[in-house]
Amino acid sequence: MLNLDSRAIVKVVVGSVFMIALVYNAKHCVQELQYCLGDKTIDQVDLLDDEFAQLRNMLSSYGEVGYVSDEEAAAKTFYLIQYAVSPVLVVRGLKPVAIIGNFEDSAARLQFIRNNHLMLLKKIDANMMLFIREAE
Amino acid sequence: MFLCLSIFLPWFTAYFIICYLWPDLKRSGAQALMRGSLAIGMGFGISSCLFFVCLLFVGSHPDLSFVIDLSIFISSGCLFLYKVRKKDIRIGLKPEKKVSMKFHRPSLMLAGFYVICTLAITFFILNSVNESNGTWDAIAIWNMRARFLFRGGDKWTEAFSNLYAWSHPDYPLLIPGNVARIWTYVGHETTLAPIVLAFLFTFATVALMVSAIAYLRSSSQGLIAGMVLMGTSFFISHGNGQSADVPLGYFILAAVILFCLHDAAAGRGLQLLVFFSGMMAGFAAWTKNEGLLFIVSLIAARFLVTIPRKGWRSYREEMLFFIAGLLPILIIVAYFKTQIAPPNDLLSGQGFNSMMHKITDATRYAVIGKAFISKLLTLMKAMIFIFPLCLVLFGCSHEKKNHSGMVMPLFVLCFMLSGYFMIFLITPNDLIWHLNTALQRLFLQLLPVSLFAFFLGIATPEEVTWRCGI
Repeated sequence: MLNLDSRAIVKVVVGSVFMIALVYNAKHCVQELQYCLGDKTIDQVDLLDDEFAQLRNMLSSYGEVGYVSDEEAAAKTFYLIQYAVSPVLVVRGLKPVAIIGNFEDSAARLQFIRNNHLMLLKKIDANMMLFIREAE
Repeated sequence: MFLCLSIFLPWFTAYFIICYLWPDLKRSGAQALMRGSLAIGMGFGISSCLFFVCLLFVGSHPDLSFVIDLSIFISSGCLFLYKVRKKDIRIGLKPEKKVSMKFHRPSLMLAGFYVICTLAITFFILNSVNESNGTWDAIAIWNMRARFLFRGGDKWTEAFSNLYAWSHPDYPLLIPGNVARIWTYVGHETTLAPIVLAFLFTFATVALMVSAIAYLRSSSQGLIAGMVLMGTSFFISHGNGQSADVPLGYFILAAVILFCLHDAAAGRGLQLLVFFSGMMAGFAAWTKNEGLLFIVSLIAARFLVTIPRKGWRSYREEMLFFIAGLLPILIIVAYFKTQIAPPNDLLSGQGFNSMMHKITDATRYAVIGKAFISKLLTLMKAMIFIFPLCLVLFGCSHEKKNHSGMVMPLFVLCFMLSGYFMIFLITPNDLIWHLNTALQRLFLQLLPVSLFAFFLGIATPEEVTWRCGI
């Protein structure tokens, strides 16, 4: 231990701890406050929760729901849809009877419907739709 | 109303149980704070286990959870009142007398602590308002599992299908079980449930550490430790993320503290604290898989500490009480792991040869070691400088019992870090990706117990003042 005045030693240590903790917490409070008061975009989790709230009961009758997308961030949306429709199981691909299609490109969507003999059941949002397989 | 009930029933039940079984000789603020913060973990641990057992045997039944919680609350409340009326004061825990040391201006330090605490709480609340659904882990793992338990009805076990491998369906249910239990009380889903749980576990960790260090060392030392914990950049920001790492860190800290308190009351027969420690270790395993590693680490650390000092007999007796607290929870964890959850993704699906190849690959050791050091420095930010500063200016405590008290948590830390190192070594995932996504959370789990060990070992402001003869 250094040979310093005990008061100075304690002041240095406690003061340093206090200042670091103060700066860190104050900085985060300001950031959160700015975000809180600023123009917030709607949370994607809440958005999908709202969009699928009505559909959940209907989807549960199908047991499993497929998911197909041309979106770049498809994985994230897939997980969030699973979160929104739980306990309905969402699987990637076209195997289930009910399929959620998420297409940014409308031409790709049309092609997808034609190729897979699907029927539009419900439009969820601009890109996302629920289809069921037409009886062959 | 029902949200409050769902929180306070288990909390107060555990508080009554702790007060009944752990009577005090001298009432102090630190002891009350310690009991209150221990009761949070114990209460939510017990209630999630009961909720899971009810789901298993009775299925989803909204009123049953409330009836069970209420009956346990009333029973424990009656026992507590009986104890209070009888004024049955038996044995205390207060460590032996302390050298008379006075510290100047403790009230100024207390004011500083309150300022930091207020800011940390404000940050937590504002962040929870802005991101009420929590971090990605909270959404994809913990809250999604809670939705399955709440919405699933009789099909709740479908949450543990291998089809959800991306969501780690083998993770245990302390957090999702509690969130689903609160939703059951309230009757609908609300983001308040995971937020309140996250808040309680985050600040119970702070309260537990402050009170335990205040109890074992000094109040001012406890306040410094609390400020360091709240000022460590990633503790509060992960706490409000609603993930399970802060609750796991809480249970690790609680189990270690209870053993330290037991050691501080040497020879006074408080084996009950070891029983509580066993419970807390069990709840750690019921929170996250790393809790199982913690149980092994704690048993091994106690072996290394107790055998040379007190011998086999003492260790055996200690372990009997520890296992008595641990076993009921471990049975639930074992049932979940073997009957409901799919195999763990890190251990299953890789052969012996593949593991041996990774273990003998020297470059992996270097990559992991480098990542450990750089991540620690990045996460602690400016607070990292406090540790050498304290060591140089305060020095180590001259009291021998503080050194021995610090040894056990240090052994636990070494074993846990070695375990984490081994997991990274044999991971089937891409090593860099795994280190980048997991290491931060693993350090977070060990942060409270690391700070506890550190502040147990260094000199207190009182000792510094006393040494300098003022």
